[in-house]
Amino acid sequence: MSRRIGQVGWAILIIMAAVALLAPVLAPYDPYATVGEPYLAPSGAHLLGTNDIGQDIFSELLYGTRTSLAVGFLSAAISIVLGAVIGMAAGWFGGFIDRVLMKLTAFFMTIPFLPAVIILSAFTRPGIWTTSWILGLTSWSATARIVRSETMAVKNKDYVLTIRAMGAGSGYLLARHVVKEILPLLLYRAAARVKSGILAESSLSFLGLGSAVQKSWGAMIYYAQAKNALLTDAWLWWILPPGLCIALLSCALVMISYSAEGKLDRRLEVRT
Amino acid sequence: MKQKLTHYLILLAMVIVVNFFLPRWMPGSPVRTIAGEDVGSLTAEERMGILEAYDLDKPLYQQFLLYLRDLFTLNWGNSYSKRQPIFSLIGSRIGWTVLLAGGNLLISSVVGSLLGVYAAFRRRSKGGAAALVASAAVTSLPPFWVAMILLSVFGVRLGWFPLYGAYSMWGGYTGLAAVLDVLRHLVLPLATMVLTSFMMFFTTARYGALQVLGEDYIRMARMRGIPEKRITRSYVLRNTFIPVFTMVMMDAGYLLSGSVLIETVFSYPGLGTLMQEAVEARDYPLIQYTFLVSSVLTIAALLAADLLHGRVDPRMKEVAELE
Amino acid sequence: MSMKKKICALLLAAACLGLAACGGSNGEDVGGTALTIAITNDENTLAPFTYVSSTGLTVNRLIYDTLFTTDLENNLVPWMVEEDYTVENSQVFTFRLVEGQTFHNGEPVDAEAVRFSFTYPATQVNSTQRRICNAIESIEVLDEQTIRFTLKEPDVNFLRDGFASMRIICPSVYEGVEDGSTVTDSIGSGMYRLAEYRTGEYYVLEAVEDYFKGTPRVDTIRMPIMTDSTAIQQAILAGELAASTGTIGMEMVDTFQAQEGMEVFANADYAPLIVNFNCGRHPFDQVDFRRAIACAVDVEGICRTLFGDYALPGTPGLIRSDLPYAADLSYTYDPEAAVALLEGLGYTEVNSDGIRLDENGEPLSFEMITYAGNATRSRLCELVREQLRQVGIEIEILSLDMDTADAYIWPDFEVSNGRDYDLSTWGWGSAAGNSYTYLISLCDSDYDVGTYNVCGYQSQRFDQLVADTQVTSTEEMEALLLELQQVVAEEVPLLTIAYADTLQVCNTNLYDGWKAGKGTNVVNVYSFLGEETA
Repeated sequence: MSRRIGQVGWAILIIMAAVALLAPVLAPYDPYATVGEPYLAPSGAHLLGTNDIGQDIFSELLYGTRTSLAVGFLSAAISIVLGAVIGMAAGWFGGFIDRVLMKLTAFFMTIPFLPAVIILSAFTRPGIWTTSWILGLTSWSATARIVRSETMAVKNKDYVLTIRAMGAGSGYLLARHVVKEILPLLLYRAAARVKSGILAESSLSFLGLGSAVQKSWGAMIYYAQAKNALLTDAWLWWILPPGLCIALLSCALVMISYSAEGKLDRRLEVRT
Repeated sequence: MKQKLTHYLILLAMVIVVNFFLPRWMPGSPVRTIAGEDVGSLTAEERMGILEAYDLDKPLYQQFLLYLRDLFTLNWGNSYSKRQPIFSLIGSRIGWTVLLAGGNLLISSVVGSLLGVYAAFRRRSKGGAAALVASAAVTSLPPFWVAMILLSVFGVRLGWFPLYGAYSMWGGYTGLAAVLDVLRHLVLPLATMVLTSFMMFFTTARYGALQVLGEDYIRMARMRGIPEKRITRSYVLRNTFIPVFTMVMMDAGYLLSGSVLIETVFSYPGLGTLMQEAVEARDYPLIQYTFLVSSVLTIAALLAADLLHGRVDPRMKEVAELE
Repeated sequence: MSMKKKICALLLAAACLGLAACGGSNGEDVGGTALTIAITNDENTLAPFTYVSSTGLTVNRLIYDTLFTTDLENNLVPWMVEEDYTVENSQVFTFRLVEGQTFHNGEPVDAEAVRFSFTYPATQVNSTQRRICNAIESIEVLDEQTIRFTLKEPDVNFLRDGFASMRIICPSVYEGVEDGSTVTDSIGSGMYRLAEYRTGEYYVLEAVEDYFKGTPRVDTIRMPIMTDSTAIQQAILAGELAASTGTIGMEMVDTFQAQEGMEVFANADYAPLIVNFNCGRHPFDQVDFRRAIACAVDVEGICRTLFGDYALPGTPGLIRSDLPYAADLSYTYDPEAAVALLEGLGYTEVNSDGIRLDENGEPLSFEMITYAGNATRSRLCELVREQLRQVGIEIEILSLDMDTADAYIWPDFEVSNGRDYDLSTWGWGSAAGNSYTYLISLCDSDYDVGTYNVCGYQSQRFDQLVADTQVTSTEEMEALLLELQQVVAEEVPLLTIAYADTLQVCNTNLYDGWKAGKGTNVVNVYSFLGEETA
């Protein structure tokens, strides 16, 4: 059961990655070119109709997979890796290191997001990297705090104390046992970050992160919303597809985490 | 304890400094806000006059000292854009934000945790997996989309709930009717927030419960024939509570930042939109003090979490004592 | 699902239904007629010194009267003054006030109050109306109802820019107040008085029954502050709002027109959508380069894509083509001519992406700044980018928040401070767009005259024409503008893409008196004026 769910998750993810890679081959039109009248309903020529400036929505969706996957995974990776490393270091070593790292974490938690984003986007050039870094840097602190307290709990587990007493080094213990214990948590958090990163693109378009000029699921949703697709029939083919893609990706990641969690902790697979 | 307090005092000092410089690092200037849309027709002296009148021509360090003085004498002055005392501006919004964001925190943590524990107990059954995947799907829908669907179904088509505002502005309700009126206005924005944000609590609670369920002492308890209900209540829920509690405290810190999107869609007069408007207007004092209030709450929540942590989680107490 | 949970869910649903059932819609208990109209921006107390955006100006026009105003055809008409006013040489203006006008606090509107209204803003640090005061040499109060203004110089624009703009304020409210923006009593002499304002929440306007042009048709106007346009449109569809100060997109016109009781108003507007070139920066300093871009961009096509039938395409002369003094000019979309011009400049080599190389071997790649949150403008950028790519010019779009963008395009709102951009999108307010001096203030390189010259456009021909022509009558002004349009059309400091209509939707079941005209909003004095005087 657990394995099957995991396989479904992987299948969805691989298909999406393939779409991203093969977008130029699969897309019937150049997503940036005006190829029809604006606001056309779906037809044989335009599977999902056309958007407000006559671009083919289906092609946009395929090309958007690239940006969205890239921003989603990059920003999640930055956020989770930063949060995990800082949280584990603070929780494991304690003392001075903990105090400094936790001060840093708490400081990041208090920086107001909106002005920070405006400043960062004013002094950087737009692009996938910039967007990912901004999203990653503004979201790691919560993960760090949780990872820290989980690490502290793991550190005091009997088996860890035993191995430690046997002389195992911190590096070994962290890499082998602590990571293994908190990995499911990180996976779920990463799944949530990927989703947030992709969605953030549409909300940040209002704030000037500059991503609205690149084809992505978030940008599609932004324009569809700005052009009132929700009040007309157009929501069916303009907002629903990118929205479903995000939900589907989110489900796939959770499915993968689910099966990974079973693999990592065999006890969970035992009937309880 | 003393060390903890100094830690948070240092943090507070950093926040006070950052809140002064951050708005001033943003490109643009408050002159447009102060002078209105025709700012381009001002002459250079007129523009200078505005800067002087608002102390914006002074060197940055002098402005900073003035800010510190105003901050500590609680003389927060007027907002550039709203031309009203900042105290009363924040005061008029804070209640609604606490109601909406606090309500969300309460409901999504409870709903999320219950679902999470359920999913953990039924981990290997279809129900558990379905709860997990369905929650992931629901919470990843774009929030404004959820808001609009709720608005158009329950507001426009069925007419059950009002479409805008935090209360009937011209209803003239009093007493219980007024309370019910506020609740009616709260339902749709709150539902949107809960539907799009309970996932964090779900995964945290589920993770916490799974951790404990695998522990030896639970299996021992089961083998000893202790009723399942008691296991749930005394072991699992208590252990799940800790990570969820951490999450709640962390989210409580963000309580006052409100939710710009949901406040905007439902025209809910919260702090989130006030902050956004302040930032867009480059309204320096309003930015400073709204964010300061919000940051101070974050710090307070972190401190509270720290202090309470030892009490709820004995393991932490040991750790704290060891160090 | 366990039994317990089912019960919980049921209880929850019941509670929701209970909440839904109790209480009615926003009460209709006030006597007389009341309309609910969303205002799209929190505009403080709507006082004349504290307006935030054009929305505030629109609404505060209901509270404050002006000596002159524009009618629905956008013609200038006397409002507070009698028809028999005299103008000498566009410099000396004598007006007699219409009898029977009072401020909302009962004080009479007399010549002295008008004089005060035109002098007080000069003492205000943060008033853009100082510009109007500064143009005035002297004001004489001839008798209680008669007043004479003498300008420092003849100004054919002043009736519109000055007398139709300055709000008449109540002297007793402001007398002795150093900072007028701190006054929260919004007391004017207009047809509505501000009865209530809650910051961030709503306004209530009440009709002034003894208004000198007749009792307004609607007794109470309630204005909840709503910023989300989709939510506003939902509420209009549901009948909870009668109208809004905001606009709708052309994609919504059919949807609303299909609804019974909804009327869509499409009004011509004078605010152009523009693409600016930074004329001081190479290669935009070359006229031929700018011409090449003008040829490569399909202005009419873009206008139609963005606005459908609800816009007038821009012209190279900038002036809206249906104005009487507009020159007969239009853009021709001709990519081949663009290529020829570019090759003429020596930009013949292309790189592997098909982008032309400049004299240093660098690709012709430029940044175009646009305003985040303005979907139409980012779409404009996308369309321009695609069309310029066809002739070998690359555009990178920078979408920035408003103040950040302005800091690049118009640092400190002072054009003599220079600018840092290649191309940008731009739009000017409606009031500017139908002013005679509009073209001049946008293009003159004497920055005291060309206060809006954000392109940094420098043209001796243009400056010379402005400097050499003495203008004392509207005929002379219009003749000069015809010549200036020719110059601008040849030298292309900017591209005028379109004049988009203002599209608004109103509920006609709730109220049938909506009136809209050129350059106005449905929330205007004519919509609420009694039938006999309208």
